[in-house]
Amino acid sequence: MGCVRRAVFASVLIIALTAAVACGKSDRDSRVATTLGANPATLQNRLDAQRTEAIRKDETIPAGQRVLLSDGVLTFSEYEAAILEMARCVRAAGGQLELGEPRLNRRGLYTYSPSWPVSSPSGTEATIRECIEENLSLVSLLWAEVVTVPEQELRAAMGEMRNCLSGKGIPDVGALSQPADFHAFLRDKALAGTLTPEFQTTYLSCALEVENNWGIAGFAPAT
Amino acid sequence: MKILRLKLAATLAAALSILLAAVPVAATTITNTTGGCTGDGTTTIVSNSYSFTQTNAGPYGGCGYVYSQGTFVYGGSAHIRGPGWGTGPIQYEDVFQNVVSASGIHNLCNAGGPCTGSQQWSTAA
Repeated sequence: MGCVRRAVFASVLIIALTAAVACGKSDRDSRVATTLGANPATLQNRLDAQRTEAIRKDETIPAGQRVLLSDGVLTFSEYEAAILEMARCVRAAGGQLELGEPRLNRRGLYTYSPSWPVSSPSGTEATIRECIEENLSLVSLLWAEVVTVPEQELRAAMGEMRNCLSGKGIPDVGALSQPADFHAFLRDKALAGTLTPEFQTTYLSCALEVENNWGIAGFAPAT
Repeated sequence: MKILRLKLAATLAAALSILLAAVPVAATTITNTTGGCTGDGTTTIVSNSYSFTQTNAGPYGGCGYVYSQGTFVYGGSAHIRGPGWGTGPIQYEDVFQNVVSASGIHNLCNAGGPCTGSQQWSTAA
């Protein structure tokens, strides 16, 4: 079963990424249009004929998603319906989502973090992973193409994060400009034993503000 | 005397547990796809308040895309986090929790497409 799931995942990843990878990163970045603040109902991913045909023929993609994408268009309402079905399935399997999830961000992306008690009956985790795969394995990757964060907005968000931390009295943030810098900042503090509860509270308040303002899912550490 | 020995043993055990808690538990592997794309995946429990997974193709080249997720166990539950945040060849998932175990799923995709050399692997800490 695990092998089948891996094969399905690899297959959908290949189809989802073929066009993007072929273009190269710099081309892709220059063509990224922002969806920040857009009415999500107006968003869609229109696939080319070759990609649509590949999806139609690929039997490793869950049948529901193949049907959904057979017209070559992924609309927001279709994406939303898949997300809601995943959430219903996770809950029916004994898992849960956090309060308020799935949550729609300002870029038109739903975020969700399924969880389940470690004392759950055997098979719970597999069922929950199946809920995600059946509904979103390809759909979520295709929607991620719609709501990509443009490079210039990411840079602006990192600047806002730096200013927020500095404004709240966190020292040594002047050189933090890339996502890797913020990640290293946290890691080094944890290694040095200075990731205090007070620091975490301050960092989280800034990170959540930036995450919400700029629609950068996952920017704030999970708590 | 026996009580003294027991106290000494308890003190040593406590000191050892503190030392162990301060040592990061990490697993890193590097993977090459058949299409010439190379990257590494890391899952690390850094301290009792910070853990992360990352997938990084940045230093190696040949990759068009990375995708990662992590499952972190804390507070008696397992939590799926991700896809990670980041740009281009690197993605992270950060967690401010006392994580007891974590696993990362890392996926690399060849540059230049079509992406037929995609490769997935996992790390655990």
